[in-house]
Amino acid sequence: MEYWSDVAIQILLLMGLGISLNLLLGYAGQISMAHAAFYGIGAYAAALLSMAPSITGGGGAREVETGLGINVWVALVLAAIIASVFAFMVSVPAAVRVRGDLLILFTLSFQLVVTQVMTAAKSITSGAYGLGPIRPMAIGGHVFGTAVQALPIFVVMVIVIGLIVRRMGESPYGRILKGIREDQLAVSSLGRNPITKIVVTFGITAALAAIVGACGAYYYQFIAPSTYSVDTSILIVAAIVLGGVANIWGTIIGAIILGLLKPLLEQILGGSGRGGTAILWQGVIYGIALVLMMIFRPQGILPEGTSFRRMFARPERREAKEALAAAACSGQRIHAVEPAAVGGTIASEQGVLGVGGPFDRQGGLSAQADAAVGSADEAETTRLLAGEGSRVATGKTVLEVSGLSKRFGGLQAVDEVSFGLEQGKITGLIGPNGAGKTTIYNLITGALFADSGRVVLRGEDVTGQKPHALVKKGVARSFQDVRLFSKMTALNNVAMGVTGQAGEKLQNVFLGFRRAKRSENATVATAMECLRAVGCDSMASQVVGDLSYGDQKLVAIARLMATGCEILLLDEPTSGVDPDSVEKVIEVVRGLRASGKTILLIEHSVHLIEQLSDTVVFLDQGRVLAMGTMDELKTQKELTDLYFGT
Amino acid sequence: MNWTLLATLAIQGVVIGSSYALLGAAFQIVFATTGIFHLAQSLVYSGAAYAAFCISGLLGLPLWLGVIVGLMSGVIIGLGIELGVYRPLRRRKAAMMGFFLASLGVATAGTMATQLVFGSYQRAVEGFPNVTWSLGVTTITSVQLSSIVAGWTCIGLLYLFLKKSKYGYAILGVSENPNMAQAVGIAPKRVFLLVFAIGSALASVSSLFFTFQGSASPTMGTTPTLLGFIAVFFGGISSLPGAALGGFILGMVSSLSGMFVNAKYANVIMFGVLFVLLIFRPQGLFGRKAR
Repeated sequence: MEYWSDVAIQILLLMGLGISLNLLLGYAGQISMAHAAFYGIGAYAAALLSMAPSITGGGGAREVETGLGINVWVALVLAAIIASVFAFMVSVPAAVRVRGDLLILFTLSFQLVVTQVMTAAKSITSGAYGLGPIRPMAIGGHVFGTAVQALPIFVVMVIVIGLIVRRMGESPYGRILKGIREDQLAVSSLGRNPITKIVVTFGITAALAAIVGACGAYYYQFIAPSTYSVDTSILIVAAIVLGGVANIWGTIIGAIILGLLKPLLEQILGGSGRGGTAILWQGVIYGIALVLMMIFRPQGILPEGTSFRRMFARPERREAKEALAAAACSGQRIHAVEPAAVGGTIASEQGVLGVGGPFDRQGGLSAQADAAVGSADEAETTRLLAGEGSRVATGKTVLEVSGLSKRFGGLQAVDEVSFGLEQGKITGLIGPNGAGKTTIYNLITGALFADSGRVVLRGEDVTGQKPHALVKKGVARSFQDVRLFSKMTALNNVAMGVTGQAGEKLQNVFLGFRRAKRSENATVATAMECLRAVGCDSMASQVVGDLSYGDQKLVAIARLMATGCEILLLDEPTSGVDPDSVEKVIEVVRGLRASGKTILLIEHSVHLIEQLSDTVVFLDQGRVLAMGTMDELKTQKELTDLYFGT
Repeated sequence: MNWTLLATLAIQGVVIGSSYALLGAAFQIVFATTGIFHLAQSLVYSGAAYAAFCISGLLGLPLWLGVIVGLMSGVIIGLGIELGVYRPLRRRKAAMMGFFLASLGVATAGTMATQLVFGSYQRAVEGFPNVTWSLGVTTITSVQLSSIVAGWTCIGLLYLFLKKSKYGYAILGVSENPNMAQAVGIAPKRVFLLVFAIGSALASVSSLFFTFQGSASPTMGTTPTLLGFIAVFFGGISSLPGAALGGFILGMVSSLSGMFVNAKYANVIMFGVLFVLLIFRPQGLFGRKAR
């Protein structure tokens, strides 16, 4: 009983570590090989904080004088905080500079440094010999000393970690994390700051690992650096990958398999007196399993998105539920985009008044309960389709670019470019390939730094501000190559565009559950509305990677609309699209103008530019060659030769 | 200033630095061309040593035969990993993470299997002429001197091969731009095989000299492989001389740091260097900036 309880605790430790890392690795796509380091930091911090001030212990008879004698549970909380502070050392570089493949190596080096310090700093950690005796866990006078006694604590620990990760991962917060995993720039271009999200997620993950470490230290009552080595980090990652990333049940299965391997081998080999080789056989089997999994089933045993509940739920019930959700959001919305001139004005006035606009049924009920946040959210979503612009006269210059320049090595990509966007008008940006059109978008939205020049938005200098900051100010862009989150559904893609979601704030994920839920209903409704506006509402629950390219372009426009921005920068919305979809795009863009949006449009199709643009900026080799209406430009001979053909 | 200690550490630094340079070169050629964090190189390292041990230690055959078999085994293991693991992964368009974990899997399984077969004891390979020469206040052994000479000879030959031969150009072409290389008729598959053969051979040379100076053990490959990594990122991902120089400087620093800090912190410094470099200069000290 004691033996198997101990085995169960080992498995639960691995589970706790795996589930917590899955949030970072699976959902946010940040591959960390440093999880065991945070596990160890937590264990050492908790041990040193809770140990008796001066005791004789350690592997030898060493005097350790570093214990502070704090209550074990207080020490556990402090250990979690300490680990999350250490996490900044990794998370900030990871979010800002060290990306992708290099992150593996970067976190690995952190892990190695931490293990080495644990071994080397003998005066604090008592070195490779290990540290002990550590106080066991106790509540009141009840001590959880043996494996059987401690087992329930570990079960609770894993359940709590599982619930935290699940709550975060499956919330709008988790949706952003998945977005970061797929395309960090796209997330930024939808008004979210990916850096804070990565840093915070790293911190939470480290804190959870530290809690597991503290519990483990209290249970074993003795810790040594080898427990927290790079091998453990590898084991944790293996458990996640074996089970399936971004799937908590997968990690649970992975941890059980890997955790049972050694005790089972001990049982088998122990019979023939070779129990000592069990750990070696474990390594061989698990190494080979890792190789085979990577080759034959890289998605893991339970791939992302599979859940037991859905597997066993009766399909008709699921469909009914989805249909209900769709009906709910279609019933309560004003069709804002197409009759924008009328509906938009009404909606926006309601938004200004602060009464929940289209959501007044829900908003009204709880307006007093949490009016401030709730109605702010809803006003935000109202702004989106309503178009404040319909109240304002067109023709005012809202965004002005002056003297913008950018050089890439020997190439002057953008050279002293100046132009302005008039409110409620479509400005076409045309020119041959390599003229610098997309670079201008990157410069305006701050995805690239301009060498010189200014971007002024309604009198405010916004030069060099990051994409997410510009979205908050009402400027959003699309991408030529759509940059949708290809593994997410169309609905989730568009929902990522909706700004000001309560459920994206961590405090709401855990505490403001009702508010988050209400906000999520509103978000889904808004997203459906945007999808309907581009005629893609029937594809809401499809994964966008499976859609036709034309539909992907439309979903991308819907996502852009969902940001609620007044100024939209469209990058070749019809390139590579079938003729039917082109007509749809034209209709949608016209609808956007009718609703008062200011639009800058990069296009290669002269036909489209002629149909849509009010004014045209002609660009060649980074310079503005001409500006004016299409008819004016067509009279200029050199432009005709260069671009329009004969 | 303790001049005797300084001289001793300097000589030791040259010896260690030369071996790190070789490890850096072995790693650089593989990483720059294939982009794989080839941690399974540790198995090549230990495999070469154990093969030499089997021939010259267990069977008592002459050392030169052990050396040849050791080198060949290292190359065969390296090629086997490319063919059996990396190539299928590449065919399935695995992510970097997949390569990395598979590589770790090979390293783990290989190390543990070695331990199952040979036990965890240190295994010495005797027979390399070992003379100690005096250099004033300090000394150098014939094994150390030969390892320095052998290391830099290998690096020099590889450099010439890359710059002068048709195959060398093919390797540089693939590491520069695999698609373009394919378009002009270079088969990346064959180049990858060649690169793994070269990298494994260099790692095996390093491993054999390590074994002559000490002994073979199942986990002997882990630290040198990590050091090779650090050397590459220290010196420069894109340049062979950069990686070799990076390894050499790293060895010198690690040895000379013994003057100032406790030797047990040497590894902290090494991994710390990698940590800091990845933040501020991921292309390496002497590397060109990517893109």
